[in-house]
Amino acid sequence: MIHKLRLKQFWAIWVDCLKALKYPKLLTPFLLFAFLEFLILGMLLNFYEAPFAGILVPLIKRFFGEQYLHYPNNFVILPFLFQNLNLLLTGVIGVVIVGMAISMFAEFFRNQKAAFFASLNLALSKYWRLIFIWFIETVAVLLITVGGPICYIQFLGKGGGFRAVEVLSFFVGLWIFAVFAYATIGVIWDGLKIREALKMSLRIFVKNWFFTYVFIFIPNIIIWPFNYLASQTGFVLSKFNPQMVVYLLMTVILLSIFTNYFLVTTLTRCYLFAKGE
Amino acid sequence: MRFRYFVLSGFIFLGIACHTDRWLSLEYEAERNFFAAGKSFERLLIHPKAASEEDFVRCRTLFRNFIDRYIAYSDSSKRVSQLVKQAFLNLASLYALEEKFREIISIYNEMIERFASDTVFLTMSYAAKASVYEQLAEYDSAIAVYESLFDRFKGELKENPTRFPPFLLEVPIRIARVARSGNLSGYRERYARARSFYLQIIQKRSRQEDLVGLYQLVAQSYAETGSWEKAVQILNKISSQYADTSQVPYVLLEIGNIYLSKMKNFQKAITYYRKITDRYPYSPPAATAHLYIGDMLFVQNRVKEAREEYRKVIKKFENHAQFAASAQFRIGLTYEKEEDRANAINEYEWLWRKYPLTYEAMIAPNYVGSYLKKNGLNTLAQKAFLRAVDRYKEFLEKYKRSEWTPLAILQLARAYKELGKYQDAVREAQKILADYKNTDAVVDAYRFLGDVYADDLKDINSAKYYYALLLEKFPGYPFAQAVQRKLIQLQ
Repeated sequence: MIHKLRLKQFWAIWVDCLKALKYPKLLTPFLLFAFLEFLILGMLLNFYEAPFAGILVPLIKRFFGEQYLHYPNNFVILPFLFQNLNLLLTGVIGVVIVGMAISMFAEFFRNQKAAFFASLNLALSKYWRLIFIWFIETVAVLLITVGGPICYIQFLGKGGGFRAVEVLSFFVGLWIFAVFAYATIGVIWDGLKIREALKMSLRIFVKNWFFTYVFIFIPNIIIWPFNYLASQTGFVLSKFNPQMVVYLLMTVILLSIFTNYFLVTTLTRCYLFAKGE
Repeated sequence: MRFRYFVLSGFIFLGIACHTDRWLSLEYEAERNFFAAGKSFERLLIHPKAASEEDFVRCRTLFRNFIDRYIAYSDSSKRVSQLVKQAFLNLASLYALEEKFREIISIYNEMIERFASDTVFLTMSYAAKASVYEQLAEYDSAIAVYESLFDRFKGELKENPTRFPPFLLEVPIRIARVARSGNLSGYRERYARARSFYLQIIQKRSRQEDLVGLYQLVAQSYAETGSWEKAVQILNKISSQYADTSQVPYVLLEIGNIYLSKMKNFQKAITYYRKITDRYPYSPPAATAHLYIGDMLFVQNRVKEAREEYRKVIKKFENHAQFAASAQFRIGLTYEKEEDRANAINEYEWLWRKYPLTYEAMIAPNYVGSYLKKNGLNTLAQKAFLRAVDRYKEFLEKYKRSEWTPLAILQLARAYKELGKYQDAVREAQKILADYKNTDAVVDAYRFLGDVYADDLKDINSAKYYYALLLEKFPGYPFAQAVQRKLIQLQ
């Protein structure tokens, strides 16, 4: 039986999540992920040094062109490379970290305990399911957020409406994300199979579509301006020192510790409420 | 088994990863350091006048440190070499902004010494050094520099001129030109020597493009020593023997110009200009040819025919602002000659609207005022000058950093002067001296300030100050004698 959230419960979820901030242990999965993101950023910034050069230099030369191996041109493609490697990182390691965080939060909300290694083991035991769900979810979201603007350019060119399409596809993308929002939690917490987890997520979303969207929208809208600005490298490089691109990406990483925290905690808490726990 | 594969893949990965271009890291570091120095240079260029001595020193130190750090690698890395060369050039530009000519020369000497094997850069360094000497009016030194460059490559240049930068081929005639500008004795012999050098090469070459260029240099050497007939003869030879080359319309224009301005044979001039407009109607020389034909007709009072010639320029070169603006201004003059005031003013107004970034447009608003004033229409003239003030202000607001900005400021000052607002006029002209001291408008600003102080504000000391500065800084000013006379009168 799936419950529909009331406004009182909506506020209670936020209060619980804020209270959980008192336990720094709960932040460790996100700190770990941020650390990995910083490593990626450091690697991209030092692409010309061994051992990264052997891999990155031929790739950049092949896919972007020789000019992007030079300073400050490399900053033009830095956000793009970072975002894509970050996506890969999320798929390979991020799913385990999110699974771990979900397990820790669910335990914490239930009995004020959060075992780090037990949660890690639980997430690792469901690794392939988590990856599969992440893959479906990412493809669906990218179809809208990337495919939408590409289709617009193909048919109408990069005219005046392009920015509006970009923004619109971002908001629609969040709706798609919301549909899959509870699938990972279902796999971790209830040990559901992929199809069952997707069904469960859809059912909870249908009953609580508005609150689900709000839980997803708030963290994303906080981080979006920084991500967007970092991707506008032409503008940033023309107005500021190239290092500004790095500062923006660092801001995104630091902010994402908290936005990811709120995203995972609110959705996990909401899942528990919806399941009547 | 699995572990073995894992270890093997690890080694392969490390092998790929560690195999890297060892110069890449150095080049990247050099680019980053050069970028930092370049930013400091860019900031300085925005407002060089506002920069302090320390700003210049800091910027120079950045480039000097860069050169000292990377010069050792410039033989091994092409990219580092490019950056080091650019650093040298920026260093020279910094000294130029400070008007430290001796230091510029020492930078060029260093460049010549360090990049002796790079012919292009070496030639450029020599040429730049010589031009500094020319600016300092040290013509003997300039010639010595050119000669030492020429001697370095003379033998090889004779055998294979295409191997070298085109500028190198011009060095002999340039030596003669410098000697002529400096009124040095024997400049005619230098021209003759240059000519004989070119003729020697011509005998050995067979490629059309090379020959056209060399013949043009020979023709120039004749023209610059006043042997017009011989110059025309050579140019005619080019236009008939090498009719397929893209240089022909320019050659025909050169012949027309010699007939027009040197030999005063207008009929012949028109014949050559017509050849261009008929055979190469859309080439840039065709625009000039139409304009000159129009000018000749205008002088002969064949005003309507002249206007038709000018209109052809606008029709054919509508997108070439400079030609079209020249033609439109001249159309205005034809209406003036017919005393058709409304149409004349209409043309000047159009000029301002259609081609704002041209010299003719820039002077048009004030020209309208002066034209009305000349015709005794003082009230209308005052209104025109008021409108001119608005227009120049609008222009300066819209094009804050255009190449035309200093001229617009000067025109604004002139409009203020005509309106009797002398203090405003002085303030605007002084802006040019403060903010645009390296532009051509500075000379006119000095003259303008001298005139306003002398004629309108009756401040004799200030007038003398600006006239004296003008003569001191620009001894080659075309109206130097008139200014000198005015200065004597004031004294």
